[in-house]
Amino acid sequence: MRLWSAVKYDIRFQIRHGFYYAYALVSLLYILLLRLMPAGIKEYTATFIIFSDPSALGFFFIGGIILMEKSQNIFESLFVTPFRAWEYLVSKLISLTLLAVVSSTLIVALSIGFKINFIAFISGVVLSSVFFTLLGFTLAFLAKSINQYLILSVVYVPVFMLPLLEFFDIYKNPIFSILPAKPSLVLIKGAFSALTGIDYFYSISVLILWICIAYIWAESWFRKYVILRIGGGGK
Amino acid sequence: MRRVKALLLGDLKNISRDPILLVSIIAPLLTAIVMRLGLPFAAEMLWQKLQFDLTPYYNLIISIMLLICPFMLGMLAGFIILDERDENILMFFTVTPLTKTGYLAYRMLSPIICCFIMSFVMVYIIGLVSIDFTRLLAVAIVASLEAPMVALFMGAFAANKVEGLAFSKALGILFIAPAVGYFVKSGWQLLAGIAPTYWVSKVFIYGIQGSSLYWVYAIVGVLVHLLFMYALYRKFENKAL
Repeated sequence: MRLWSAVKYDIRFQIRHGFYYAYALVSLLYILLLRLMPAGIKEYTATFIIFSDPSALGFFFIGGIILMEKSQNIFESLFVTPFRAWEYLVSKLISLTLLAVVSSTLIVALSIGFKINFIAFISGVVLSSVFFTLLGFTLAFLAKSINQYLILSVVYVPVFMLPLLEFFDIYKNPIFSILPAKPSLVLIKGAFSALTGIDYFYSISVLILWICIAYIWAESWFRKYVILRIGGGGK
Repeated sequence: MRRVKALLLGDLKNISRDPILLVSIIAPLLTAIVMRLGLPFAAEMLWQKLQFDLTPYYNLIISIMLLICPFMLGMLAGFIILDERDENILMFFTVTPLTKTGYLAYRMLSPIICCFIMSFVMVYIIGLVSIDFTRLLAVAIVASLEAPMVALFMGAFAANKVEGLAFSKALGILFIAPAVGYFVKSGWQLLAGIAPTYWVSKVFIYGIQGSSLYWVYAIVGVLVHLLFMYALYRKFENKAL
C-alpha cells in the first residue's frame, strides 16, 4: 500500500526531527502540572490542555513541514510519481494525529488515570487533530516563512476557538455550537463526565462536517498553490 | 555602522512584509491585559467553587507570564536565523565584513531591547502585585537575556525549521523550573537553577517580597544566562552552514 508506506515514512521523519521527543517533554510538563492541581479542577484543566495542545499539534507542525518541503522542492519530484495529492494529505493527517493521540492519552492516563471514557476521549482528540491539521494545511500554502505562519495563525485560528469563551463561562452564544471547538470540547470533556447519545451524534457529525469542508479547502489550495505551480518557475 | 544600516533597512522592509515587530509588541500587551482581567476572575471562580485561594500564587504566575515574551521573541528570532540558514543567506553574511558574530549580535539585539521594555510594560499593565523600580529593572535585565538564549538554542541545535518547531515546543519544559523554585522548600530546589528560567522567576518573587536577596539571584541569573549563551554560541559557530 502506497499510503501506508507514506505514513511510515512520515512517522520516521517526525521521529528524526524530534517531534516525539518534544512531545514527551511537553506531556511530562502537563502531567506534573495536572498532578499538582486540586481535585475539583483537574478534569476541567485537563480538557483545556488536551484540546489546546496535543489536539492542535498538527496545526503547529504542518506549517513547518509544508514550508520546508516547499523550500526543498520536494513536491516537484514527489508528484511526478504515482503518489497522489490526497495520499500526501491523508498520510500527514494520520501520522500527526497518531502523535496527538499518543501524547493526549499519556497525559490523561498518568495524571487522572485509566478510568475515563476512552471512546469519547479518543474520538474527540482524533477529530480535532484532523480538523486542525487540515486548517494548518490551508494556512501553510499562504505563508512564506514560519514566522509569517505563526503570526497569521494568531488571526486565523481564534475564530474557530471562540467556544472557549463559553468553556470558561465568560460569554455564551448559540452560534458557538456550529463552530468546531465546541464539539471537540464536548467530546474531550466527555472523557470525564457522562455523554448522551445526542451529545455523541451532535459532536461527531459537526466535526466531520468541518473536516469535510477543511479537506476540500485544503485539497483545492494544494492543487492551486502547489501542484499547478510545479515546473512553473515561480515559487 | 554602514553594515548595520544595510541590515536594518532590510529588516524594515521585512517588517512590512512579516509584521514580527508589531506582533512582538501586541502579543505581550494582549497577554498582560488577559492576565489583568483573567487572574482575578480565575481566582474568584476557584474560591467560589473550591475555596481555593489563588492570590498567594499571583507572584509565581506573573513571573511565568514574564517569561512568555522573551520565549516568544527568542523563538521568532530563532526562526529568522533558521530561515536565513535554509536559504543560504547566512553564508553570505558570514563572508561580508559583518561576520557571523556581528550577524548574530544584530539578530539578538532587537529581541533583547524589546523584552527589556516589555517586562516593565507587562508588570505595570498586569498590576496585582507591586514591585519597586530598581527591583523590576533587575528582573527586566535577566528576563531580556532569555530571548537571545532561546534564539541561540534554536540556531545551535535545530537543523532546519521543522526541527526548530520541535525544539521550541520542547523548550516549554523550562517552565517547570520556576514552579520547582516555588514549591520545593529544601535547598534541592537549586538543582532547578540549571534552567535559566529559575533565576528570572526568583528575582521577580524576591523583588516583590522586598527581600534584598533579589540582587544575588539577579547576578547569578545574568551569569547563568551568559554562560549558556556562550556555550550555545560556540556550538552555533562550529555548526556547518
